[in-house]
This record gives sequence, structure tokens and C-alpha cells, in this order.
Amino acid sequence: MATEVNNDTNHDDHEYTTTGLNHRKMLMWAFLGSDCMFFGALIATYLVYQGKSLVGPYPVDVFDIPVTSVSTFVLLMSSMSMVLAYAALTQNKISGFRIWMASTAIMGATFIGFQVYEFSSFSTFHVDIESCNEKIVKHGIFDEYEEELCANAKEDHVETHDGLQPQTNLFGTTFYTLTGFRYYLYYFYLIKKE
Amino acid sequence: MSSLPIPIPIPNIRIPRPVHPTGIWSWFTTIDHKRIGILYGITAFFLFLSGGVEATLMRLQLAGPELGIVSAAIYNQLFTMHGTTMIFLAIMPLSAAFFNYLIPLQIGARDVAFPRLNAFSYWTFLGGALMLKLSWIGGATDAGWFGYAPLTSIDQNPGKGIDFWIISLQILGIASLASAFNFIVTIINLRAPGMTWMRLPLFTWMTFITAILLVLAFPVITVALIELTFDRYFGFNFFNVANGGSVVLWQHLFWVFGHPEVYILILPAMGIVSEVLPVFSKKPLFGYATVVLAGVIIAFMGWMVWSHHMFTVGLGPVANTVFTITTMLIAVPTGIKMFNWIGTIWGGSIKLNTPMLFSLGFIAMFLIGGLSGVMHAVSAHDAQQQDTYFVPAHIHYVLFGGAIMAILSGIYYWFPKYSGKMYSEKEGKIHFWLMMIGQNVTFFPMHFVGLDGMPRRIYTYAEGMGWDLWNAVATAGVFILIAGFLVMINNLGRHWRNGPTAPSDPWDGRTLEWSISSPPPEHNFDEIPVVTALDDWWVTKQDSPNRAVPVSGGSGDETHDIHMPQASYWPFVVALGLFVGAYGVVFNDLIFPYLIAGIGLIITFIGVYSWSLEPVNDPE
Repeated sequence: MATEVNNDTNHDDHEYTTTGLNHRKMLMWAFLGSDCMFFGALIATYLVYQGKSLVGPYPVDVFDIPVTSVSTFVLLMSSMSMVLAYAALTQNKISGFRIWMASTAIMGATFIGFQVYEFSSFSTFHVDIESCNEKIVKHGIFDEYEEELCANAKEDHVETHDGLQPQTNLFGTTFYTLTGFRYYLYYFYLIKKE
Repeated sequence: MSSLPIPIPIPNIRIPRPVHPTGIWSWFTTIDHKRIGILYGITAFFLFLSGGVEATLMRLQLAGPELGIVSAAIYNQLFTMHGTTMIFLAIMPLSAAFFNYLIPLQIGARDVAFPRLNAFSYWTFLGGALMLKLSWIGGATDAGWFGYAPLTSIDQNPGKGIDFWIISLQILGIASLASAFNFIVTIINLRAPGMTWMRLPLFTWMTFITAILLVLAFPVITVALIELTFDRYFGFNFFNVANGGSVVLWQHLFWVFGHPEVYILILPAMGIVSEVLPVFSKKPLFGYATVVLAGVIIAFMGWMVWSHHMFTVGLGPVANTVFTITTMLIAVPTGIKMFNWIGTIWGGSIKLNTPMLFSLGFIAMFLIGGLSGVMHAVSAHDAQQQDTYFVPAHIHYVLFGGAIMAILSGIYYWFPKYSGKMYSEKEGKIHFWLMMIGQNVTFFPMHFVGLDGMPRRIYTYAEGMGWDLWNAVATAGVFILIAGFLVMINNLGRHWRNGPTAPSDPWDGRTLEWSISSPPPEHNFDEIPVVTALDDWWVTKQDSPNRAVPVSGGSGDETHDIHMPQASYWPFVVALGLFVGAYGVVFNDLIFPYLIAGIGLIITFIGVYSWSLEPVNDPE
């Protein structure tokens, strides 16, 4: 299949290619293969260490599925609006392109906002023992897990007071590394903290 | 045609492309794949010699019992640096030198798909290599080339050596990945018309397979090294047993990378041998399709055998049995290649030139290494050999007798092409015999002391263990090897400058690189060839023996409308930024935390930015 698209912006593409496909597109496919192995190794590490943390907080303590679901939805929608932006561009519809690009940027920022909120709530997670009285201070939400946690916290304060840092346990180590690799920002935060 | 309809504000910092046809600057800014290939080759050869110096010091230390030539601490650094150097800084870049020089010539292209990325690969590799070798100042890494946890943990090993090792391997990984992407795209997309997959020269095929292995294997070691970095720098728990971490995880990650890596080392060597044998036997390669398929199967099965490096870890009988079986199975495609090579020379009119001798030497030495490899594959048997000198004996037969012999074969075989001169056949043969004798004297005794229980990685041994004689013999062998390499350096160095001029096709070759002048003009082919058969150049010569053999060396007339990619400063600048940044990560506490790393980042950013906006000079 011989495609003529993209030949105008790029000097190198004037040349004959065996498959008729753009060099850069093909490099991107090879890169995606490489990326699969990269995240495969990170996910493998996460899975190997699942349930191996010696101290809390554990995933069940900090995960907030509704929040994560919303932020994941926003992320997926931002990919869709990116596709729509590209489609508008190929049809020379500049106003459409601008709208979709802007919405991609907004949704991307929203997602990062969720991520900042999630990471900071994890890292400051604690059980307030003083005023516990079967009550948990954690995003103001209260459920069975937290009830159980509160009971545990009474026996064992030190650990649950620290929040979830990457250094805290294997869960923190693997979770922040795996998720953080999509958000390089976190590493600047980390370096700053050191 | 129409540009983007949206005005993008581009600051006016566009520096014109460099124009330096000769001189030192032309080498810094070159993006010609042939020059980059030569840079790779020469750099890697010097690094190979540095690894050889490390090996020589180790052999001197082990020449007799209880010698004190180097201390135990230095000895640990020597074997770690020797392994890392030979694998990452010698064999891989020597193979890369051949990829760079030959792939565009063999597939009938004028350059690689991404010429600037190619230059970037070289400069990044050089930065990583310098960083690793300079770590000798102040103490190099000493945890073995595989860096097993917890030998690398900050508690056990607080020095900077491990940091240098981690960061320089990451830099080398970037270089290898960039180069692998480049060659995948080049081989898929820049084949000359008619150059179908089953007409590709064998070396190109093996390069393609190697590049795919690189693309898939390197991310795994990247992740392992990132995890180790975070453990050391930020107190993460990946390999911290006190907090539940597992040191075996490192071994798995390392060998999931590490086993495909050994095929990354040997497949290009097999490709070179598959080029040399047919030419000097005057026969086509026996069973071309089978050799290709065997290469593909090796690459595929290379992912299923990693735990044979871990038979004594205690993974249990089921895992050990499975990996024993897969490891034995992977010997089958390798055996297929062996028989194909023998089939190629069988009944041929053999000319024993230096490249041919080295290729035949490769087959013999690699066979010995393969046989001890199959012995390791039996997990019960391996328990007896683990960590003894039997393993270095094996690895040196496959990597020195195998990969290095094949690379030397390639260095002699293509010497007329890249230098334009002929070497001395007599001195080449002397080099070959010194190598054959030297390596067997050096490495064969390691089988004996290994089976006799001598552990590897010990800096000395007591008298009366019965190891004195064979260790002394092995050390003596090193000097034969040194003599061999001196003959080689003298031969090739002298003849590169003022040897007799080489014809374009001195060996009556079969592949396209022999259809053009020696050395080839910058644009390689005046006209992109149209390929009609496997071994196209050979077929062309048979069909029309009167055809003018070489193309001209670029007289100018036919070249005026060939657009070659133009030289560029930025690959060097980006690589420099990575180098500075890498140093900044290791020395992150100088003046201000991560100050130097930040400077490196800024240089990299400027380089990448200027790279993407680089103008094209108007051809006059």
C-alpha cells in the first residue's frame, strides 16, 4: 500500500521506502513493542510482590476505587479527544482541532490532578487513634474496611501513622514505581524531597 | 506543499547544518553510516583491548598459588569490569560496527533510515563506555557483571562503583535501543527493489533478529536497573530482604534480559560466518531458508531458557526440569546451523584465506563451547559445575572462540571494503594460528580445574589443591593471544595506511557490497540496484561476465541529483548532555543536589530541541 500522506512536512520521506510506510511510524511500532516489555517488567515486579508487604498500609487501606475509576475514565476520554483532534486536522477543520486539543489538555490536567490527589492522600494516610472511637479520618469516608483498620490501628499505631511512602513497604515501592512511571512529575517531587 | 495551517512560533535559533567534508569536525558531525561504523569499530576494538588488559591482570594473579599481584578488592573489580566491558563495550559494539557499515550496503540503500539517530547511538555509546571505564578512578564496580542483589545494595556496597555501573549501563542501553530501532526500520523499509525477505543476505537477517531481541530485552534490564537505582538512591524496598524484598527477583529480571543477550552477542557472529563460508567455498549457503529459520527459532526460544542460569537457586524440581528441557531444545536450531555450515563447505572449492580460517576456527571453537553448554543444561549436572571454572571455560569458548573469532573473520573479510587496502595474508594467518593455539591453551585448562572444583571469582588459591599446573598453563596462553593481537594490529594498522589498493571485489563475493568500489563512495550506490535473486551480485556476475564490475567512486556527474542526509551537530550535543547528566546522577551531592544532572538535562533538551528544528542547507 502506497500512502502519500505526510510526505510534505518531512524531508526524509521523499525517499523510496520498501513497504511504502513512513519510517517514523514504523519506528513508533518498534518502540511500542519495547514499551510493552518495559511495563511488562514493572507489572511483573508489582505482581510478584503483591501481598508480600510486611507492614501496612496495605492496598485495601488506601485504594479508593470510585476515584480511580473516574480518573481512568477521564484519561481514556482524553485519548479519544486526541484522536478526534487528529481527525479534524486531517480534514482541515481548524476550529474542531482547537476544541479537541484544548479538551485533551484539560482532561490530561484533570487526570494529573486526580493523580496528585491520590498520591498525596496515600502518602498522608493515617488512622487517628486519639479520636478513633471506631471512626477513621480518611477523605471523610467511612466503611467496613476502615472499621477494621481502626481496630488494627489500636493494637499497632506506629505503622499506620506513617502514611504510604515508597520506602514504607513493598506495596509502596512497587505501586509508586509502576504508576509513577506514567507521571514523571512524581520523580521530580522525589528528588526534591531527597 | 502546504505546511501546517497553524502558525507555530519557532524561535530564531536555527543554526545551519555543519559543512566539514574532512578533518576532526567532520567526524564529530558525520552521519554517514560508514564513518559511524568505523568509529564504532575502532572505539570498540580499543575497549576490547582494555578488557583484555583486565583479563591479563587476573591471569597473572592466578598464575600461581597465593600470589599478591593485585588485592582481593581489585580482583573483584577486575572480573566485574572484564565481563561488563567484553559484553557491553566490546562484542556488542563490534557487532554494531558491522551493522552500521554493512547493512545499507547489503540491502542496496544509501544510508540508514535515521542517520542522525545513528550518530546519536554512537556518541551515546561512547559516553556510556567512557563513564564505565573511568570508574576505575576511585573504585570500579565489584559485584560481578550480573550485579546480583544484595551485593549491590547500599548497605553492602556504599561506594560509587555500583552507581557508575548502573548509570553507564542505562546510557549504553539507550544507545543500543536507538540503534536497534534504526536497524529494524532500515531493514524493513530501505531494501532495494526486488530485495525480498528471502533474498536478504544472511548477515542482514541475523542483524534484524538481533535488533528485535535488543528492542525486547533491553527494557527488562532497564527496569531492573531503575529498581536498583531507587533502592540505592531513595531507600526503596525492591531488593531489601529486611522489608520483604526478594533478591531472586533481580536474578529473574537480569537473566530474562541476560539470556536473550547472549544471542544478541552470537547471532551477528553467526551471520558473519554465514557470509564468509559460501564466498570462500564458492558455493551458495547450504539451506539458506533453514539457517534463517533456525535464527528465528533461536531468537524465539531464547526467551524460554533464562532460569538455566539459576539452577542452584532452589526454584524447585519442576522449574529446573522445564528449563533443562527448553535449554536442550535450543541446542537443536544451533545444531541445524552447524550442519548447514558444514554442508556449505562440503565439496566446495575451498580457499583458506584468513577470513575463512577464522570462520572455520569459529565452527570448531563454538562447537566445543556448545558441548559444554549442553552439559550445563542438565540441571543435576549443573549443580556440580555452578560457580566453578568450568563455566568460564564454556563462556570463553562461545564468546571468545565463538563471537570474537567470527568478528575477527569479519574484520579481515571486509577489510578491503572499508579501508580500500589489502592486508598481508601471511600475517593474517600467523594471527589466526596464534589465536587458535592461544585460546585453547588459555581456556581449555579451565575445564580441568573447573571439574576439579576450583571456584570462579576467587582472587587466589592455596598450594596443593592440584590447580597450580593448569593455572600456570592458562596464564601462559594469554601471552600467545597477546602476541596474536600485536600481529593483527601491526598488520591491519600498517596496511590501512599504505597497503596495496584493494579491488572492489577481491574475494569474488556474492552480496551487493562487493558491487561497489572499495571504499564505497559516500552515497554508496550511483544507482539503487534492482535485485533479482538471492546472492544477487554473484548471479549478476555469472549472467553478464563482461559487465563493468564496480561502480565509479563518485566522479560527480551521476551524483548531482542524489540527496544525501546532511551532517549535524546535535546528535553529539544530545549524547554529551546525557553523559553530563549521568555523571550528575552519580555525583548528585556536588555544590547543590543534582546540579550537574540538571545541567546535563538542559544540554540534552537544547540538543533535542535544535535537532528537531534543524534546517536543511540548500544544495547549491
